[in-house]
Amino acid sequence: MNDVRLQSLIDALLDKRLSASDQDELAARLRSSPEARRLYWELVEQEALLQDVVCESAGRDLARMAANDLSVGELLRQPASTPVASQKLKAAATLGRWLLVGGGFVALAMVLVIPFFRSSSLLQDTVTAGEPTAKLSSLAGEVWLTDSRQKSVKASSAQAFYSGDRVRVGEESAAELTLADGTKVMLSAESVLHFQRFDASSKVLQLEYGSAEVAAEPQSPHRPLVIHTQQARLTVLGTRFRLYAGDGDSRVELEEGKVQFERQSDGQTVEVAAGQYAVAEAEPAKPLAAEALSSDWRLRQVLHRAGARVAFSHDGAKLATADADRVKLWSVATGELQQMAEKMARFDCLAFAPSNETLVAIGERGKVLYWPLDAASPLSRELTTATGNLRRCAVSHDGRWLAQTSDMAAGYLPIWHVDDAGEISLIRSIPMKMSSVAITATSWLGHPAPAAAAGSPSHVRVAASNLNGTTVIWDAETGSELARYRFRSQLHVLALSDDGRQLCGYGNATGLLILDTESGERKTLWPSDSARVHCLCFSRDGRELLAAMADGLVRGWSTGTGEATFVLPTDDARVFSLAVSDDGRSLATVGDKGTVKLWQREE
Amino acid sequence: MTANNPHQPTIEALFLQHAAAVRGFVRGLVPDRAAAEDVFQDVFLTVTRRGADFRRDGNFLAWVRGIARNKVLEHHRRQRSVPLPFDEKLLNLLADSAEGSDQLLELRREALTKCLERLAPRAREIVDLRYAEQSLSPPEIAERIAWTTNAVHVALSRARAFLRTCTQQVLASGEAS
Repeated sequence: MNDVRLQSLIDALLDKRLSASDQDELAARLRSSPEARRLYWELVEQEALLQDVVCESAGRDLARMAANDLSVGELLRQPASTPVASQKLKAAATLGRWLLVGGGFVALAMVLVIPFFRSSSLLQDTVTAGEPTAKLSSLAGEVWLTDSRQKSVKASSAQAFYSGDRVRVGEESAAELTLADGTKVMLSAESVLHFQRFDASSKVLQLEYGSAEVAAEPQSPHRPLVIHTQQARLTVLGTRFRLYAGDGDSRVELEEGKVQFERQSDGQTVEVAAGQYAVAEAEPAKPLAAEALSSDWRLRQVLHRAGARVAFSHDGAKLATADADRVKLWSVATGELQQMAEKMARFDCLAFAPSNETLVAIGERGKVLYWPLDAASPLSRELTTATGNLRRCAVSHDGRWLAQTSDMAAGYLPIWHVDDAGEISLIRSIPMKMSSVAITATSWLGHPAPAAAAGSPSHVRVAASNLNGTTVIWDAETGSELARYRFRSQLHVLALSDDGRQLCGYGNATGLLILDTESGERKTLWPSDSARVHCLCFSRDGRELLAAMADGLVRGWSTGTGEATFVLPTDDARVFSLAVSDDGRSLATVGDKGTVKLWQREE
Repeated sequence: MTANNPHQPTIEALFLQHAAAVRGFVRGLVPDRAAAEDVFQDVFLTVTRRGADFRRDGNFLAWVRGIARNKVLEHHRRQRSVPLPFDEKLLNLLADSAEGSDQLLELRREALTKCLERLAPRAREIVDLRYAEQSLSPPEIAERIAWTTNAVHVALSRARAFLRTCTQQVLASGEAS
């Protein structure tokens, strides 16, 4: 157990959401380790200070703080019916009076300090007068401007930014800026860009965290655009690139032109050209180098108004899509709509049966669709809980297994089996309150089972993660727990490889992780403080992992080495979901407005 | 205690000087915020009542912490019907390991004030809602800002971790002195 885990336990205690088992774990750690007790006090002291500081910075004076923190007002309104209450009232009122005196000093200080701030404000106004450094060309969601005095306002369209300002992009938000020299900067969600200096002598920006896609105008060699991150310094000479700034590293990916990329820790420099990328780590383990950024996917079809979820048939000939109320079938070869189910409900997970002649879908609210494609209409069924609401769902790749999580306090994770006639039977219910879920069934579709699975009585695995970061893998048929992990946060998105040996997940605090469930080896493929991952998918052979990202890209990694295999810009602002065909040669990506793009991998 | 000596601070004034340290100490032993405030009030009451027992050359904070520890143990004994996170032995161990001086606390407060300004706007909003005068619980914050409770928990954890690191950096760089 490390600091991160301990910190998450203490956080849970402070927010009154510590489970009984976590409580035991925390107590044991505090008993045995002086370091744990030191961290505990540090966080608790921070908690107490936060109460004070937040209240003060919210403009509350000390007198009101006394009145409210000690519940003087409340006590004054209540009859002092008991001696203790009466004593408390007296004590609180006394303390309140003392803090009122303190309040007087604060008021005096304000009288002295406010004129100073006013004069600073005038100075700032003078500095920011003139041409702005950048303007907001477009925004989605929440974008904030924080000026050099740390004053924040919500940015509006055509908002001007000046030297010293910061632009902060909220969750699920995006901003496009046009710099004074015409350079376009697209900032992804949860990014902060600081206009450090932008004047006649230099143009310096700092990407404090998050990611930016930049289309730079040709730069003067005497005054090029320079972008800093914590770990890198990038000199721009007119190009298109993406820059990601995380806690541990910074990464640049070039689409056009070239940039000079300098690692801050040791001053090593590398020139990164079109089609290459480079990563600068805070603690470098290898020389800085530019490497090839390959993408061998070519766009083949665009399916408009197709849906938010996708699945390929096992032969790769059909694509099923699901939107808010309809399931549709498309030809992968021609992109033509072939069949459409009647309006029904939203389905979140889709899979074809091995015969390719039946489609199975499940929605987060428990609706199941069983559609023999030669039948006039699909069969549907509701999976409901006695109490509580269903949360997330999963369907195995062969469409035979369904899993669902619920918010029932006692925990309820049912696993269902779908037979050839479309009958659905509850196989097992796991009594654990979980959120995200993934299920995989090793039905080999005619291929030989791998040695690791030979002789195993069970081939169905379920993985689920809950909000305190606990993630468990079960054997779905026996209900036995196969592995349990504790992460710093919930894995919101989960996937299991077909053989159940590899688990991957993305969490806000963990980033994108992949684990070998047998050896316990774990790799971080993508940091938590960069573009988010919306959907994950293993290739059928488990050798590649694909991720749909919030910055409009699809990324692939080799599961063996953890190295990137491709980066695919989809030209959509975000990629919400994806599916890969069994042969790994076709890819479907879901972008904005239900548009699905079909890609073909070139040999 | 020479309460009538006009050149010496009264016991109430001394308590106020150390209020944040005492509140932090109590909160560390009574994780529930409302219950901790009750105990804090009781400590103040006892301190003012027993002010005469304090020797002027003694360590005031250590003396108050001794009182606070007893109040916490009393509170825990009263709350036996409610499952508490720590047993008495662990509480004593924690109380023994509490460190920190008022000067350091003041520096940390200054550093924390600076670091709060560096939080991303959404994180700052959540921290404000959690620690404001009328503080909201994570589920209430989630409802207010239309997030899931889990997302709020994550945001709070990240904000606390950021503030801790930032505070350490500010203290190390001497910005807060």
